[in-house]
Amino acid sequence: MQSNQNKIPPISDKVTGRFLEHDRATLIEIYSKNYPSVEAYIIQNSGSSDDAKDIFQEAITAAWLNAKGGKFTPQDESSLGGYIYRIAKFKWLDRVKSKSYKSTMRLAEDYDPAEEVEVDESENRLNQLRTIYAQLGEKCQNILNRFYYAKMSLDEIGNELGFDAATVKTQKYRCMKKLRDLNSENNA
Amino acid sequence: MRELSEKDFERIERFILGDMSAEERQSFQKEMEADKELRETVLEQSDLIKSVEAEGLKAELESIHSELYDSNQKKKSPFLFLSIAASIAVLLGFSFWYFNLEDSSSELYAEYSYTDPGLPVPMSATDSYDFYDAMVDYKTEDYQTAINKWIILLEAEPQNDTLNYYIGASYFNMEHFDEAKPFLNNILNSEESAFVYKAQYILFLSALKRGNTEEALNFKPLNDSPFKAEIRAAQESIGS
Repeated sequence: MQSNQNKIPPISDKVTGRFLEHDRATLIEIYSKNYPSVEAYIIQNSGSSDDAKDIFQEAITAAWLNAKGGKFTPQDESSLGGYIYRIAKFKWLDRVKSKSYKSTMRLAEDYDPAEEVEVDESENRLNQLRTIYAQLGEKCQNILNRFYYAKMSLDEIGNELGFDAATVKTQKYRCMKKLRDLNSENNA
Repeated sequence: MRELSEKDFERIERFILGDMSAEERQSFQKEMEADKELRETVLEQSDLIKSVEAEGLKAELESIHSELYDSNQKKKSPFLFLSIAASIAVLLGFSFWYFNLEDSSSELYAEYSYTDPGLPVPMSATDSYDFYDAMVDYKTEDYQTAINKWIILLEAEPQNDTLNYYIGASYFNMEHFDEAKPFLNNILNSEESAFVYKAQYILFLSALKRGNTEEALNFKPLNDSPFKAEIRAAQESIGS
């Protein structure tokens, strides 16, 4: 099977690699460089700064998801920033249309309909899974977040939460099973 | 849905996380080609892991956002409150101000010397924790530590009058008058600060302390300043 999920995306530069690993310093850099222009765009187009924050964070997440899935490979940091900006614009346009705002917006010159497709069902599926994850108990979230997000080792997690590594491993399995069960209930 | 044993789970996870050797990976891929259910399970696990990561990312972005931008928005209101509290303190505290006149500016300074008591530190000042944390240092006269902490906050809000004032006041209390000056001048340049009278008064006292009579004489107390009488009286005694 050739699935996008299993293909390791080519990492064209260090920023992309660090972005995929959601390194905090890199995220701060990306955030601070790109948020002001997204906020300006959304406020100019009848949104609030709360809207801007939502949309911008969704856009970063979508960019991250697409980079991880190999659908998008930023050449460098500024192309990553541009990509996030475009996603944010599409997302805002979508939201405005869906709320049937009176649309007084113009599409910017760099509008490229081909890219619109990239914010696709895999993101919707992910959003659905995230609501399911929210139903998981705190104990499970603590373990799963540390292992899959923070990339901590079983030993490190055990030290922090006061279990031995073997317990963490079993708990992780059980928590993922629970997540899987919640997901199939939801799909049933 | 097929039940997933811990062993199978671990194996799938090692594949997804890229922890397999090339050999193991190849044989696993062969297995997947032949087994539709395994393919689906791998995809499902991979999505579940991504959802965990996406939630983590979301939380991280929230924290980054507030780190970068909320100091501007959230802290405004406590500081506004502080400004009002401070102006009340000015009105109450300094209507009791009493002084004697001396003829040398340095001795004058001793008479007029003033240490701002700082602001009360509330027990639950979560929004502006860092600010109050430094205020505790200020009150224990550890002015340099207080300055170091406030300077960091000032970077996010260079115009914040409360910060400018207390950094200036800290330097003043340490008798580092030259360092105090730019911060206090920031207050005087901003029109509607509750600290403007105190800032001016401290600047005036700095001039006295340094024996800079000319500068002290040139001070024009602000119209509604509660220190107007003090400043005028001190100036008269220098001039006389």
